[in-house]
Amino acid sequence: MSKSILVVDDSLTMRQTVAITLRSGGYDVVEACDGKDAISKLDGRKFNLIISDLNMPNMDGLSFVQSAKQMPAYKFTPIIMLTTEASDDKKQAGKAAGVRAWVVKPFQPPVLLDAVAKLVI
Amino acid sequence: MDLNESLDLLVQEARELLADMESALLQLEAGDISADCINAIFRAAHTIKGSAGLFGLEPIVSFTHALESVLVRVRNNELSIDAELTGLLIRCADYSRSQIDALEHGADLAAHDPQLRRDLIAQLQRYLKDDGAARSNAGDSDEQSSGQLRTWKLDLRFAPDVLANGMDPLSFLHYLSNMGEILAMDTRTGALPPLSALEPETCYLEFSLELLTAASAAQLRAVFDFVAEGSRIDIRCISAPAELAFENAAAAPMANATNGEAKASRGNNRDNALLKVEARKLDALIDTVGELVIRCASCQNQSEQLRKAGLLELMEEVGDLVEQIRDRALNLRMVPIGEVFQRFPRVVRDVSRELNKQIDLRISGADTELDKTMVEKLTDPLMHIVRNAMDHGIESVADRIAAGKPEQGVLSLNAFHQSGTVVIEISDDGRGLDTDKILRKAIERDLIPADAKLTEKEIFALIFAPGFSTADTVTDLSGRGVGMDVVRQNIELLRGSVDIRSEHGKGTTIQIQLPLTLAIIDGFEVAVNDAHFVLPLDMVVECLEFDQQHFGNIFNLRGQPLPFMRLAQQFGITSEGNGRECMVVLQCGDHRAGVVVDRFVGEIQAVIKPLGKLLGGMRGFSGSTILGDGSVALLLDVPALLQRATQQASRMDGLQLLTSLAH
Amino acid sequence: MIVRVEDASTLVNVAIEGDCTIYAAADLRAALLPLVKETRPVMVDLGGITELDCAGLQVLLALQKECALALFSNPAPCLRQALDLLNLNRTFAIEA
Repeated sequence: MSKSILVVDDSLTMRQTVAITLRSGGYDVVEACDGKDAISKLDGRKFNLIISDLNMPNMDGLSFVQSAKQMPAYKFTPIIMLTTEASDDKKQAGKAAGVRAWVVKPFQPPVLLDAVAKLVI
Repeated sequence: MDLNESLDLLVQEARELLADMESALLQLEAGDISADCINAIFRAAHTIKGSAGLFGLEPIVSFTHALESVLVRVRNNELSIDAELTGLLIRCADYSRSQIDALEHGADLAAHDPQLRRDLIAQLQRYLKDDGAARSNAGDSDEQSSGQLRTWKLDLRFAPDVLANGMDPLSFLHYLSNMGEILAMDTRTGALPPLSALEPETCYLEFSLELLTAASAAQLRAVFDFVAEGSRIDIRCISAPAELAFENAAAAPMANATNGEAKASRGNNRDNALLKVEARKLDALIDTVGELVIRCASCQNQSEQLRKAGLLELMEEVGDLVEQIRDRALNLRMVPIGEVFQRFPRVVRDVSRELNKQIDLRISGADTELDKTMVEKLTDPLMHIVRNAMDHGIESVADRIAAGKPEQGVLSLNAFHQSGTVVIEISDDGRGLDTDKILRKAIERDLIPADAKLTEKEIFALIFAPGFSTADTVTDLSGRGVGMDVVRQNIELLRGSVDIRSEHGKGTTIQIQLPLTLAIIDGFEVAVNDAHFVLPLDMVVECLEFDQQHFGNIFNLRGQPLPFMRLAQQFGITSEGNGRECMVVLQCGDHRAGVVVDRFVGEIQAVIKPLGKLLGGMRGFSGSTILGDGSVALLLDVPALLQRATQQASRMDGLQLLTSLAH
Repeated sequence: MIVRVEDASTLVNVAIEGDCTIYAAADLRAALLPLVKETRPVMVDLGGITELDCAGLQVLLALQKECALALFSNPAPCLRQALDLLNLNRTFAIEA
């Protein structure tokens, strides 16, 4: 059974690139265009991984992660932050919210697939 | 070895691998989907990725990784090869080569045609659906040909909260298992409490494993980047680097897709471990051996004068050994011409598509060896001749059918050794040279007078004249402004000669004749007055006394006319004039002529040094050498001399000679 | 995740179905805890496991360690893979 991944990014191009990369790696992908949209997708269905952007309108990545981590069905779901911003400040804030994995944009598809492979069998 | 040198090695190695990959891809395209073939392609991608990884050349790593991942699936029979995939792989090989070119020129790899790279990767990824193993496949221990295979001991004690953070040690271990081969795995459950005390979200398991992998310590550590905090990750190497797989360094084997030679030679390479040596080290060795040969000759001279018992014999033995050393040293630089030939299947494939012609390339004698420096300089001339043959020689399918020929044209590349030279023939079964057309063009272009009477051979030779083109339409293939004259010049720089045979409507053969090596030759020393000259011994047919049996510049050699020339006259030297002259009969290719000198000195080993700037422009010499007594002798450029002798001997002289013989 | 426990007089049949991941680990532990004190053989059918991570595996390992009478059978592919990877096939004996 293929594993499913939620991809959250406000840039359509980026979201699609990520989605295409992941689908090529054999994963099921659900897309969300910002934090708020993403929360609405967390409706009980199973995700093996969440990949989220940091800067987004409506609800930014950090708030989204914090909310997700409060939800029983998603509190243990691994999260990859896919962002151009990987400053220590941001990482610190992310860590507090439960983020351990960072991949810096622009990303090489194999690098992303590599990171995903560490978190999802 | 500094970084640049290692980078050079990387570039060189990658080129060889890509050449292997390409010939294997062409085999695939020809329908030979053997495991050997797939493995060759895989190995190339895998090794390039590994080496590039060592230098942190991310754009190369990521690209070859994608390529490799697809190949893993092919190898595991999860994907089948079809024309579309083969086409994609060929484009990838091309891109990979352009990356290596960019690397060599110090260009920014990330900026190197990124659009194409992305496109190709995206296309590759379409073949990667639903396969975990393909994502990280540094494994397959039997394929670990690059980097250093080492055994690593990993002790992993993950942070207790690792599970709660969404990180699963199982995933990381699974990932590791794809980086190499897990030789031993010990999962420690000692810390696991009874169920009643077990906190379900706390990690209690500890792992200790041995991993055989080509990955570096840094690469292994990077695996645990996401879980580094609070975890105790202990990684240490417990084995010395495994023996490097030398077969990677093997000179790329033959390209010919059809004759099975390639496989044989590949097999041999594995048996005979090869060692990669920098070319300049070899050059230095050959230089020194050259000096040794000269000194040895001096010693032999001296010992002859000393006439000391035993010394002469000893010197003779030393001389024999030095000769062996010389041959072996020179042999080190000999490489199979297949190194050049293997580029052609691809060129022919591409060009025939472009021209919409059907061309079957047949290669033979790819294992014929010649000097490495020559191999390098041969590529351009050969490429030009081959393109010419495809462009102007072989007809379009329609024309061929009209001429009653098979639709598919045949282009042959053949190499063989012949009397101390290497002969390379490029033949096509195309329309052949049209002598009328060549004459017309030559007259149009003022290359010859309108009333010139030329033999067929002389007419053919016109296509080597500067600025000559026989094509009615200039295509972008051959009409590049450089013509066959450049080809001839290049070949002549290598002390070689070019010959054409052609039959109208049937085809053309261009024959290139080259000396085996440029460095040391067995020579024949002659003298005119006190000037000494050396001739390549291979080209000496016979030596005889020069008598008056001649008319003009034609000598009567046992009833056969032989053009000849006097060296004294040729180079403006005063002959000894004691009335006795000698003649050396020389042969090179089809040309045979006599060279008249004052006396023969004898056979010598000549270490050829390039001519200095002063003499470099002089026709008739191809180098200089130092004689046993320390004086300098000039090496005669026999092909040029023969050509001149033939030109100078007018047909009238020949007619006179024949008439005199008839009486 | 569902744990079915069937009391069959001379033995206890247990079937574990669904995802045995960190989300289910606490429930799994709770469901298996009573079996530790069992005096009859406990037959555990592992064929219904759909997903497994370290958290789920730990619970199974803890049961196996504590309950000598537990006999495991019919491992689902994901469990089989994990046991192979972790070299636990001897520790975590599976009945043929």
